[in-house]
Amino acid sequence: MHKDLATLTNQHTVTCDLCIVGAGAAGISMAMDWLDAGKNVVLLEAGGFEFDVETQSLNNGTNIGQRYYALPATRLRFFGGTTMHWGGYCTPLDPIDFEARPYVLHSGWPISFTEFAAFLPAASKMVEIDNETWDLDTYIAGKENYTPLDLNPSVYYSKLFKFSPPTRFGTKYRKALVASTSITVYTHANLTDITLDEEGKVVEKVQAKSLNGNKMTISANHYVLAMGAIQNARMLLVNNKQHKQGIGNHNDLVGRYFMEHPEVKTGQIFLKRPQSMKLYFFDYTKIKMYSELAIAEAAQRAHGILNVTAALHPKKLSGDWAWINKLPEDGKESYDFWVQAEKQISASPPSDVDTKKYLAYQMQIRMEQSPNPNSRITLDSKKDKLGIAEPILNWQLTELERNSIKDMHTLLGKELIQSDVGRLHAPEWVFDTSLEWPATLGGGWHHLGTTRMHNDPKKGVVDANCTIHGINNLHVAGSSCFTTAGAANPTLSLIALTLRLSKHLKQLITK
Amino acid sequence: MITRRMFMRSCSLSAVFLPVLACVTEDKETDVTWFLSETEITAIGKAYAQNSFSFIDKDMLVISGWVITLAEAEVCKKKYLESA
Repeated sequence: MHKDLATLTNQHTVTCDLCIVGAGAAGISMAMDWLDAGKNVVLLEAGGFEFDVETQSLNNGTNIGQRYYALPATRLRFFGGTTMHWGGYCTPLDPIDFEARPYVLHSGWPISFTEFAAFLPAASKMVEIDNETWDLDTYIAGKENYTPLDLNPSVYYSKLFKFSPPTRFGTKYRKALVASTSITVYTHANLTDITLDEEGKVVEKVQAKSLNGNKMTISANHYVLAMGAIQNARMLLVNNKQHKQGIGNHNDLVGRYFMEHPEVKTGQIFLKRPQSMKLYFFDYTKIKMYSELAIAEAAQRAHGILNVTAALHPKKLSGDWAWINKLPEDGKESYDFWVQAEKQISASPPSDVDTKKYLAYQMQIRMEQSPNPNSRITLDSKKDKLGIAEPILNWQLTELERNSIKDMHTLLGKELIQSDVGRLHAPEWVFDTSLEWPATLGGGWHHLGTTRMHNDPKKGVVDANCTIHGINNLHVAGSSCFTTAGAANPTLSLIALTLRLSKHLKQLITK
Repeated sequence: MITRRMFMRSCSLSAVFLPVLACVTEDKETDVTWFLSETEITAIGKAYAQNSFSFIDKDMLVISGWVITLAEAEVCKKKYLESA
């Protein structure tokens, strides 16, 4: 069922088995997993069913680090969350992403790739992609003109990406959730307070407020924060009445290790012979799969390089623009910009580009950011309309990112020669790491890592089950739990991780 | 489809005929015009002549943003010196 807190009488109180805070990719995935569980579930959403300017302004914040998008431009605060402007890229984290790698400080998840991958089929269903193999060669077998570059697979390989329609979770799953008798969706319900018991070890209740002043209290057996990496950290830090440093922050880790996927146009590949590059050709909303060049795990380990993939697009058609220089800073303008662009693209026919005509390809990389405790979310003295301190983002990259870009280009250039496929050229900043980052460096609007997963409370905010250390009934869903970022667009993986948490909660709640 | 790489790996005679092929093509000047413009050839030739490059292994280098072979750099240098 659905209730709008903005229209309810004051001091509304509910009791439930599970309270999920945030109705984006993670929150809705979890709620859908409880649809037939026979338990009483509350799903709190800060916004309504449509975009509204006032609610969106609650995503305001300040960036004091590496140049970044305005925060309200990167996240959406209404039912469906950021899936409502998602690009639909789906590919899972790689096995190496879960490993403790000596050249990546603070790496190593407390769960294995296998444990994570068990939830990929269910996650794939949520985003409406097929559940076939992730092995590219098997996937494209028999498909005409889908020809990978003939590189040594122990150095570079072509990684499979599948495309969600994209599934707009707020549209796709609204009807089922609102029709449910066991799940209650509260809109305009912004989490404001988390109250612990006297010992500070159990959440007793949470409070939500609407912008017009209505309040509600939820008392649940278990609580899941699913508001995204910035808001999850913000709400844990701001709730500091009982624990002075904030909830789950005994070891000063909440908000730290903020990661993005640095994205930037880098070098160009010049093919020696024309070949079909249809496999790599991106045609938004018109393709169901494509491939990016990826550095093999063995090469990453051998050369101490972070995980990176590179999209290839005909240089003549590529242009020199970058999202970071194009996206409006205002939340409304940014959302409108995206909606308009998508409408235009969706209305246009599929591209008829013959990739065999092009020999020069522009690379746009998406890379893993190494976990860095100094890249973090803190609280501002400035408060939002609900009286909650706004977040400050200090996005910080390290030398490892710069060196990885340099080394992955050197390695690719060498491999292109050795495989007799082509040659590589890159701008000066790629090979000279003493130069500044280019003005085109942005990110994928991927917020990761602020409540990182580790079994040692001194090294992570949540444990391997995504439960906050020391607070047995408070859990976190989403990419804020990522220990390392990988190079994969995070939506599919964060849903898999959420469904894993959901399974764990079912065991706890149905005991 | 059998790719060139698969073919090279699987062919048991490659150890025999590859040196032969190399001998046949030895005298042919390395071609750089398929990926470099005249301006780029001159710029690379000049940079190479001035030792402004870095090796990435014994026969490959990074020069003017390009990853190329030593032989290709030599060709660029020759063309640069001829044009100077």
